[in-house]
Amino acid sequence: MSAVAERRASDQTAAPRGRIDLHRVAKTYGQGRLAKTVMEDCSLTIEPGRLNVVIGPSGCGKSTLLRLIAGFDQPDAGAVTADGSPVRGPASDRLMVFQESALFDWMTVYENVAFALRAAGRGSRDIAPLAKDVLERVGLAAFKEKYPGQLSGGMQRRVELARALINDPAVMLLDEPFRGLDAMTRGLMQEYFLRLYADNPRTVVFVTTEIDEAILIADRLIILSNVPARVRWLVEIDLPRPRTVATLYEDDRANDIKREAIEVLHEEAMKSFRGAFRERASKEAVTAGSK
Amino acid sequence: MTEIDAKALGADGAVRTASAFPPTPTTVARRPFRASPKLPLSLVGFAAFLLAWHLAVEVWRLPRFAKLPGLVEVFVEWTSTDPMYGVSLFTAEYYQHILVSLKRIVAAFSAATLLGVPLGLLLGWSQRFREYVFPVFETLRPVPILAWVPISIILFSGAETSVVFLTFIAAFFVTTLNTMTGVQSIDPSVVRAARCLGASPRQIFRHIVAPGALPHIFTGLQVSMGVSWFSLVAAEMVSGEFGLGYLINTAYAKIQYPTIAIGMITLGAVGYASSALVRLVGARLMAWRLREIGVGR
Repeated sequence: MSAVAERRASDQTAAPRGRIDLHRVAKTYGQGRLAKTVMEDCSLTIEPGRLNVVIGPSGCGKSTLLRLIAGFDQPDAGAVTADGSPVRGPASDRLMVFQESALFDWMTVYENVAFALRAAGRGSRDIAPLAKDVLERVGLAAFKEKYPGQLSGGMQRRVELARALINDPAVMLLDEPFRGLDAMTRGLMQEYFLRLYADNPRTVVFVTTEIDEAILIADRLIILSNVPARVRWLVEIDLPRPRTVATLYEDDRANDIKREAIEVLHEEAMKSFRGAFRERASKEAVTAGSK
Repeated sequence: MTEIDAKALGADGAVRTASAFPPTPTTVARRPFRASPKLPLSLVGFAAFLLAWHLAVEVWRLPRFAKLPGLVEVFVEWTSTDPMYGVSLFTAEYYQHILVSLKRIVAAFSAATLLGVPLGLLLGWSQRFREYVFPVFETLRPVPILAWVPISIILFSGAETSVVFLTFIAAFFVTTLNTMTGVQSIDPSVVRAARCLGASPRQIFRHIVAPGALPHIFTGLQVSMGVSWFSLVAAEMVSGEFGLGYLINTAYAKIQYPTIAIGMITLGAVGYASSALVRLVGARLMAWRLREIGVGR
């Protein structure tokens, strides 16, 4: 049993950690005329120990949701709680894996992965077996002395996963972690992620814009509405695991979910377009009327 | 030379910080030389330049060039054991001028690095500190180095300190500004990631901000080294009793034209070497970056 798995096993006796509740949350960015309400009266529950996938039209507040859960931002109204206690700031048991690569370029892969434990004041002898274990699990043990700039895009994402995993966080927040990878690498990373998750189950909030990715990965699929974000549709993805892109392709249940989800997403996405048209139309009407 | 090396290393906080997570000691040290222009090609460049000089002054005697010291004349004077104007490779005076200039550069450049890098890091790191200090800084920065001459003479009795001070001033502004820019150029998501991973503000400053700013800092140090020489010579021409700037200026006054050329060539060589040294130190500290750009192989 791996070192991290052992640590987890000792936690298993307690109820699974990492339940996140949003209760009637509102969030507005900017002030005055530039103010944009991204979230309003939004309530949702992230179930502990499960893979919660959040999807929604672009710009709908998915990243805001993650930032609120991570504690980078505070809600204007309502409450965000983690295991019952309010989220007041970032903490290493709710770890975020960023959209864009946020590796430390000046540190080797090993130093990147060891960073959080070093920051916490753990000794090198303590860290070494954990880091070795995590790097093996993401298949990068041979690259531990390389710098991020020497790795491919897919490998860099795996370093990011390892850097978060070593802390054994109760909640992992992934903001479009595979964005920007080519389709082939992306597919591999998805299957890779699922295998990794099967060995290290925990609460995950996974934000994506790809419906195929969402259905492949999710235990629960949360579709957000157009801004201001609310939960538009919530569905349990009860497809058997392990799933692969190929098996889902022929699965009727998967295709039903996909069809329905696309309909909902399309409807929500169109709202922002229609909203824009309506705004423009009314402006034109005003200018026409004033002439 | 190693004196500069040692001081630049020990002096600046960023440098020591980076060595907390030391870059793996591979064969990085030799790479900067490979990254510099290839030797045979640069020799061709030098040859072409010298030939043009020789032709213009001594062979064709072009109208405006006729009075300039010629290549052969300069070379003979420079390598003579008994130079006509008293300064050649074989005179102690020549090395004294070089040594005096070098000492001033080392003092001014290390002081500028020692003060400029920490100040720049602070300016980039703390918005409040920046709001207090930056306007003053930006008001003083455009003041040309020659405008500082009277103040520095009033401030410091004796030519020596004021020459070093003038050189310091020029280098200081460059280093500080580049360091600040370096901090501001760090991707915010990298800082956010560090915060998320549980690093304290102090740890972020030490392990993220300082090493992250290193590329800009070293760009700044290279420019600052160039500016140091520039203002050193200007200062030595105004007030000084030794040094390469002084040598050139007095040679001009005494109509010893070959000596002017000797002084200039020497300045070029010493300046080139000192910049190369800064590059070398930078490349050693930023092994990660060299490889990333792919210059290393």
